[in-house]
Amino acid sequence: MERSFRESSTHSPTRGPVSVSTPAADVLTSSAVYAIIAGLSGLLVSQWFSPNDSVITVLLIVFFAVMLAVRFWVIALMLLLIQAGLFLVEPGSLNAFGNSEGSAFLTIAVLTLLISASRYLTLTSSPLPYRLSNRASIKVAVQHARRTPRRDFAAFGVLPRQSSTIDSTEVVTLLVRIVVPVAVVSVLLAAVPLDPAAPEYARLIPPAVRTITIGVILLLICVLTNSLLSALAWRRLSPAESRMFLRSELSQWIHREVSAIARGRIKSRASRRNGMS
Amino acid sequence: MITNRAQWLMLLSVVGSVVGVMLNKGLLAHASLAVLVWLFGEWLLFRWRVEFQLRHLRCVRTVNGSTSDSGTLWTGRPAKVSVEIISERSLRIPFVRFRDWLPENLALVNGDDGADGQNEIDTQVIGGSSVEFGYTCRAQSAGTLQFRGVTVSVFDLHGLFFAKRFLPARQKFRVLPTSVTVAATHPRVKRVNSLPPPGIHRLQRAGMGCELLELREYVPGDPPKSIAWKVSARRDQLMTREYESEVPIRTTLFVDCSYGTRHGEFGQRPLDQIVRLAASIARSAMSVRDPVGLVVCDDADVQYMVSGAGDRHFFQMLDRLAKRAVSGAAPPVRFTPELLDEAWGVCGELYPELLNPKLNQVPFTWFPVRRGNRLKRFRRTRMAAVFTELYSLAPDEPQNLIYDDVRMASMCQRFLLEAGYGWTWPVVDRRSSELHDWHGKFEVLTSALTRVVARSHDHELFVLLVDLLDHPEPPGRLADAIRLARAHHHRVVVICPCPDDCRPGSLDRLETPSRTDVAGLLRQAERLRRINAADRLQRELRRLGVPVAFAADGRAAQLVLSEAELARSGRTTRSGRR
Repeated sequence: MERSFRESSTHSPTRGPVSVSTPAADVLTSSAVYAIIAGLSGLLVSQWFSPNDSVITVLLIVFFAVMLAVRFWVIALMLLLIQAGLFLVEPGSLNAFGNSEGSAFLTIAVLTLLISASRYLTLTSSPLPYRLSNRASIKVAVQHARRTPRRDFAAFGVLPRQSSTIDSTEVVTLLVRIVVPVAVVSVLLAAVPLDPAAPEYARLIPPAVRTITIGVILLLICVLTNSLLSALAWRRLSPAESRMFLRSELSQWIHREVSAIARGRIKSRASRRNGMS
Repeated sequence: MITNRAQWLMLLSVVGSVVGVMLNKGLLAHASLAVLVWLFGEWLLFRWRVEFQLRHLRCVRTVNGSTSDSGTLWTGRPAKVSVEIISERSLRIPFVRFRDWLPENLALVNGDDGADGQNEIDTQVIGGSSVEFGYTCRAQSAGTLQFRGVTVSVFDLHGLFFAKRFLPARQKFRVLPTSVTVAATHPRVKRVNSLPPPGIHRLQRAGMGCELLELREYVPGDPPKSIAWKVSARRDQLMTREYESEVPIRTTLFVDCSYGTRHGEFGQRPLDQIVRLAASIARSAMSVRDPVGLVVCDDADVQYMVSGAGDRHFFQMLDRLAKRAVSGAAPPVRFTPELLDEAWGVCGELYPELLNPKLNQVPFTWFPVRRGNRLKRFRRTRMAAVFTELYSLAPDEPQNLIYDDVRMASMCQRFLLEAGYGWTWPVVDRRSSELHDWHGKFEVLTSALTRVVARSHDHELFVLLVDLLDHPEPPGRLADAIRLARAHHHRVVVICPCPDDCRPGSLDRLETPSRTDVAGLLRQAERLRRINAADRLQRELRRLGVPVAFAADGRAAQLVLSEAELARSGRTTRSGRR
């Protein structure tokens, strides 16, 4: 469905008039951010690969091309390439715990790259790209790669966005988003080291024991947090939602019996109708 | 709901973490685990906002400056809508899209300043601030419409998660048809009259009109101003002028509100054209003091409204038309995939909370095995549960709805109808035989016309606004009723709506599509069929002495009224032959 595009300013009564970002500013931001992302990615990748290697050079070119062209899968592609690079470059050894200062800096760089790229893509595209078909996604990506002003994106559901969507505390939240995971992972890896005695009591190799331990810890945290949030959210359900849940649970218990009754009733009615006709 | 981006990131980071830890690749493990923790943190934050903060938003809508729960709109006239989202507490939702849900009867239009209207906005809610946006819309057909609320789509800042909720803000409006202003009608000579003056039509009986009827000798008691002094001087005897009466002509509108007239998009339906023309004709007639009556028919029922004049009667008539435009005959119940898809889409817009998979769970079954069929069964099960909640059905009703197509179709149609959607197209095709119940329609219309003719004592005008274009045979009993009306010296005009804005014209105006343009060829074939049907209908009704007009759009009103005027004037052709 074609949507029209509005560039007029929107007035917010409490915060005053809020300007809508213009297409020209979008183009400028687009090129700047792409250049930054491409540069950072290039630096990251070139650290681990020899530029003389022709295969890696081709990989780099493909990486940049894909990153510039494919719009909504670029974050996953970036992570995949970084992981592939780390996997190829780093030799596996029992001493490499990955919990050094170097690994923390590298993780900070990786997270910065991923978060910035995700944030930028969310800012400049429709918030609903994930519901677009693949063909529409590619069209939007091509338009964006051509630096088409956002005006032309209106056909794909990209709305005018208030510039205030960019939070003033963006940098602070970015720092928190980066530092907290790095700290958590550092603590986790330090708390669960490789245990040389693992084969004796668990009959497993030390890395396997470590993997299972970390997995269990993360799973426990996830399940506990989810349970807590679900319990809190349960108390805030509306009456209609509560009724819906109860009815759903009840129908799950007696689903087979009631289904059989309903099917039998429909069948007998159909046979009666056929008999009458 | 998790997005593709988050799914892929999570998958890659889990694989990277496992591979990194298992193979002792520390950098890979550290980076992948950090990404996993970041995703987990974002999920926590997002869920907190959706589950706990979003419930403190409230919506206030202003339509044409009023926040009242009910009001009146007019078709074709722009209405300014302003929506304010108020947060009752200090919130922090950094990225949210608000979209005011519009019924199908409303269309967005450009504002007065030429700016495009949009009923949605992307913004953020920080602190206790409110968000306001506005747009201009226009009702397309008469009836009622309801603003239901605002759809809220919440996203995180990185495109990892999104969720949809609905803020209810109900406002119900009565939509009255807008009448087209036409030129003033001309007086005609009336031979018989039973209606009291005033009016504009000439009756050759003594009265207080402007046209001279005769001169007669003065009788004591005649008003001095009616004495013809010059003639009296010539004849040496007092002579008095007598004038004609000026009387009205009663017009009765027969409006066809049958199920077949509700097919198509809002604003293009035959019913919309009929209602618009009925309002225009009524306004035109009342502007010259002619009383107008109304007979509203459908396939089984008929309602009468006695003739009257004046603004109050006019608005009562519009109100009656608007009500009947909504409450019509029930459509044929048929379960189609399109009907289910449409109902599912609307349900997702209006009740996203009730479709939440955590609340509205689907019992596990082995069948159907195929993914597409399984998805359809899941949708149907969830919709059955929503219908049970919305309409307070019995506890075992969801299972009946899952397996009983007729019940499910009936509920889907009810749901779409209440949501303000035109649900006819997924159910029936215009060319199909079940769209029109010709027997019922002619039965009702014939009895109504016969009754009105039997009760009339005057030379009246009957305007039949009936959808007859697809009728394959001569009108039958309706023709007999028309003959009866003509025998009582009444004028009858038939106005037949067209299914779209294409008036049946001549062939030379048609654009010839290329042979490869299948859609164009089908359009042309349909139009040719319509032209032939219109020619046939005109021929048949001309034999009865009834002029026919085909209403297609707003421009047709003028033509229709000129046809009606032709009928009023007593002539059969524009050249003036009586």
